Amino acid sequence: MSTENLWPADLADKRVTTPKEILVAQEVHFNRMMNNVLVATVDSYGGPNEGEFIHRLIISAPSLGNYSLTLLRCTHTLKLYPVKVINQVESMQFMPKDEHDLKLVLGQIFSSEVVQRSIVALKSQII
Amino acid sequence: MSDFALKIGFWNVNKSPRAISLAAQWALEAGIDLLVLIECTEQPAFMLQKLNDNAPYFFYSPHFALTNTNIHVFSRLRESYSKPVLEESGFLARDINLPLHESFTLAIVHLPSKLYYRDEDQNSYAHEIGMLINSLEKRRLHKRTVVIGDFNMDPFEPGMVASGAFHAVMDRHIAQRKTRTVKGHDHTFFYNPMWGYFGSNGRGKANGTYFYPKATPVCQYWHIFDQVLIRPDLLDSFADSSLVIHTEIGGQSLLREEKIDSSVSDHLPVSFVLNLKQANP
Repeated sequence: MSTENLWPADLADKRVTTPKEILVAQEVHFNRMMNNVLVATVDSYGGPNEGEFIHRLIISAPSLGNYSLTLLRCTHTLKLYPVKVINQVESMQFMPKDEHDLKLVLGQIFSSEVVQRSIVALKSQII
Repeated sequence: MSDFALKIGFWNVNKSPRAISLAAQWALEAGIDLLVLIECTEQPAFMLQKLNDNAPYFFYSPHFALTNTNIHVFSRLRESYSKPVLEESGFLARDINLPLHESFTLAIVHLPSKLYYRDEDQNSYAHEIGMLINSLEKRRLHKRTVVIGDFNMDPFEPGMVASGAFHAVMDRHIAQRKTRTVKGHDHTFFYNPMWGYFGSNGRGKANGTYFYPKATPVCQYWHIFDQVLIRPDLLDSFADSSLVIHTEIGGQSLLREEKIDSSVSDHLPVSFVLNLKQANP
């Protein structure tokens, strides 16, 4: 019997950043920028289909009775990518194919004029 | 002190100037306290002028941060009694909190149309909204929730009935059991009174709220996309008899040749009453 290792040598070192990790990183950045006056949260749960995951990036205003605005939602399978990303403020859909693409899409959504207007409107009602 | 009867009306006006104009007349004529207009492209100020033509009864209940929605809420309640708690495209939730009466969450939906979403997509999205409502209820610390609006699904479709989605049943007594356990998880029911309004023998004056004659082998013509879902904790506040699918406004019929007159809107308006109980001190 052969004892040769057929597995790729670098397999154990390979790693993909999950969509949730990317979203949580953005959650942390947002909360730091807003001094927790507005709070970002990633709400994750299983989808209706086997092996489906859904994440919602929600902006809440604790001082406005915890009012929340869903900024976007991501849906993916066990394969992680591609991810279906929906800008929930503008009803626009994207399908980034990898983590690099996902970061580009998120940046695009965060910089959108309508999204910024919504966040500024919310913050202006508090401060 | 007695219960407070809050009459809620909603209508998908299909961006129609005629329907938008009639909506104000309907609200005044039917004694609506809280009016929700879906696909309303008119400026809220225009609607307020119409609603307050004779006396200043209505206020506009603005959104907090959602700027590009065409769902608008007008109410006889001051803004402080009807505050937004969650907003996203196609889903708005407000905390209705009248002094000395039990508060409740009013969720308003306008789910994607069958023109753009396949049945599977609609069911999947309904599941997400179901989860969103559960998570909102956890944060609000109560389950006194009513969901209204244009679901773009009939009451019998999986997205409306499935335990992970809206979990809305036709039987008030089953809904009163509060939850059902599926695969070890408890799922709270909604009661969906709209089942009783289908067809010529239904409770309504029309056979549904939406009419769509499709040239395909399976065509049911009438649909009930506009629905009211009530959590068990609010069932004592809701009488089935208060729910009305309106077919006439100011003597003008919204039907033509036994169909919905789409020159007004392709949907019919719906109203119902919630008798809000006195809050425990």
